[in-house]
Amino acid sequence: MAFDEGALSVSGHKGRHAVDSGFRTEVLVIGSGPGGAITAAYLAEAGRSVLLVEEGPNLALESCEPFSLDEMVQKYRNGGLTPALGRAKVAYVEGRCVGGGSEINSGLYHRTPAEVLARWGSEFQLQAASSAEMEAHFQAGERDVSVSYLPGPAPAASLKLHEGAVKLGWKSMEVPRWFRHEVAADGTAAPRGVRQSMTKTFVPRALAAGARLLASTRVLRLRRDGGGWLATGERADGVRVEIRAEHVFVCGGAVQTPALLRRSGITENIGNSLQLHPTVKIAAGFGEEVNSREMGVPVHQVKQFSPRLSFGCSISSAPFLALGLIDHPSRVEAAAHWRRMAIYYAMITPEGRGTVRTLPGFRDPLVRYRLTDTDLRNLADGVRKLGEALLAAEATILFPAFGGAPVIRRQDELQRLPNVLPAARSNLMTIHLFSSCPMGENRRVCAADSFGRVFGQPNLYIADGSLLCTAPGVNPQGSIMAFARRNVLKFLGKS
Amino acid sequence: MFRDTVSALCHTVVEERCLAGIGSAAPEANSVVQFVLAQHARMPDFLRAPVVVLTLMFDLQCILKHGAPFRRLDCDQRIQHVRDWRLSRLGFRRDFVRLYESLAVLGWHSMKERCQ
Ligand SMILES: Cc1cc2nc3c(=O)[nH]c(=O)nc-3n(C[C@H](O)[C@H](O)[C@H](O)COP(=O)(O)OP(=O)(O)OC[C@H]3O[C@@H](n4cnc5c(N)ncnc54)[C@H](O)[C@@H]3O)c2cc1C
Repeated sequence: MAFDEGALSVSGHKGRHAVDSGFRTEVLVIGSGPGGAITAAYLAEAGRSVLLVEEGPNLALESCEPFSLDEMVQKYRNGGLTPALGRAKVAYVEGRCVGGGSEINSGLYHRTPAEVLARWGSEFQLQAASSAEMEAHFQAGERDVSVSYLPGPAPAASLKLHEGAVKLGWKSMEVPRWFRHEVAADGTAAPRGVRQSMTKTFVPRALAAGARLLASTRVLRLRRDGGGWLATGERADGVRVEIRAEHVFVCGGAVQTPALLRRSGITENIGNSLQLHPTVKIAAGFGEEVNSREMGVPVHQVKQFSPRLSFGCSISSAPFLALGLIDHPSRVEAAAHWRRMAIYYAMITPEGRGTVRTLPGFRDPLVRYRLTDTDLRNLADGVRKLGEALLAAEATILFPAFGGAPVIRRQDELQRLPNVLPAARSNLMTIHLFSSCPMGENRRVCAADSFGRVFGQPNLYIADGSLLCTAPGVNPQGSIMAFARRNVLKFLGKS
Repeated sequence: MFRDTVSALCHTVVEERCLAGIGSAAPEANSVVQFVLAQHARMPDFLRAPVVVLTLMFDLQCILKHGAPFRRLDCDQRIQHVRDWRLSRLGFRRDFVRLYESLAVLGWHSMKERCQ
């Protein structure tokens, strides 16, 4: 599928301060991640005129090795150097390319848990979003991106965690992925296949239905223009762009959506309640090989202590393992044994919240995040319990990834771990961000109504992870997809 | 001065964290330096200037202790200065070293993996 980027290019050469004001559309969708791509596809298939604008470049899923340095450079925002500042810093990662985060993620799928939906209903007065009401949306998403289990065995490192959890009597499960599997050639290698990212699914669907795509173009501001909106932006080559639209869907993700809205003077409950899933890691060594270059994505998660704590196995390539050992400077040699090692994570559903603010004179927003003492205790508990499961799986050595962490070899040594993770040396990261513009009818805390319409702003909608009322406690893209479908069908009068 | 200090810092990290005295860092470490400088240019715009200032502080602070800036020290003195900042009681110093160590270690191992 050839993309349509060129079709909208400015005709003739223009200088750096040239302005292209020729864009008019019925619906402008800003951002092409899961929220934006799904919104654009349904709108275009319903016959609406749609312009999908994406800040990042239009690259094929195969343009680089997954989880590589090249991918960081090509597809991560700020090369992956994005910290949420606070007493414990949390490094976060966002996609910045056509398809957004779906192009760089692991594809692990969860529905929004029923109890989370119930909480959103009671606390945020989110209407028409019970499990039963969401069922059709979950099912449609699962079908559209081929959510499926591995047809063969999971990677050894993933099975190790599962094994340890089962020995302890803990609930552990394989998580399905949005993935088209091919049958393994001879049964020895893991089955290959293609992750069903947005550039493999909804972006081509939108284009096939007539949507136009403008990649490498950042929307800087929105302004009311008669009954509609005027979006001003900038292409990567410096040409300024003006787009007139009757309706606008902002789908820039949980950090960029509030940043764009605040820059546009729209601030009511915008960017005040960012949530994320902080994770702390452990690099574990085993007596046998558990890792290889072909390892792929680990699929098991331990949910015994969910939603407070979840455990899983991370991408464990040699470079990431070396990074995982950074808090153990005297163990340089350990990285050489990467085939016997893998990285595991403990993730919490936190109490803490953060803010997204724009800074005068700067392009990038300031993200701040405050972990509570309970969060730091839960993180420490997570490290200890994860260590317990890994030792039960016969790990021979554990390197918890925070400053001053002891090396652990036996169950009794887990007592040496702190009861509260030291905030200043915590080395936390996250790939899950949401809730910066929550939806619902509770005007005290919500930025948009139950279907994503921004309060007080006619014809302006949000459709991405920012709308999720709180941290879902599970990988979020399944929730983002289901709510994007639900909300766009409501807009189209089809719900 | 900034580029020279980043270069000296990256070579030191590679020496200490990736090679541990075995083998020679050049010329692969030069690619690591290029990667780290490029990452600095990609980081959020409001952080770039503070990182430059801290890098210069890190460099010049050595004059008091060793009589020369970091980029002019020998390998052992450089490793010692990095360790001092890594173990510092001041959070910003630890964060500074972690930033460069993370980038250099990731860059080094990625390049090595690519070569294989
Ligand atoms: C490494 C990694 C692994 C992950 N693994 C999983 C997983 O296994 N399962 C799961 O469920 N989730 C996973 N996630 C999270 C998931 O990818 C995100 O939750 C999801 O992509 C968010 O979708 P979104 O539509 O809200 O925003 P995004 O995917 O962030 O998309 C927003 C898009 O809008 C663009 N944009 C922003 N501002 C503007 C602007 N002003 N003008 C034009 N364009 C703009 C951005 O460049 C971006 O492409 C992972 C994330 C990462 C980074």
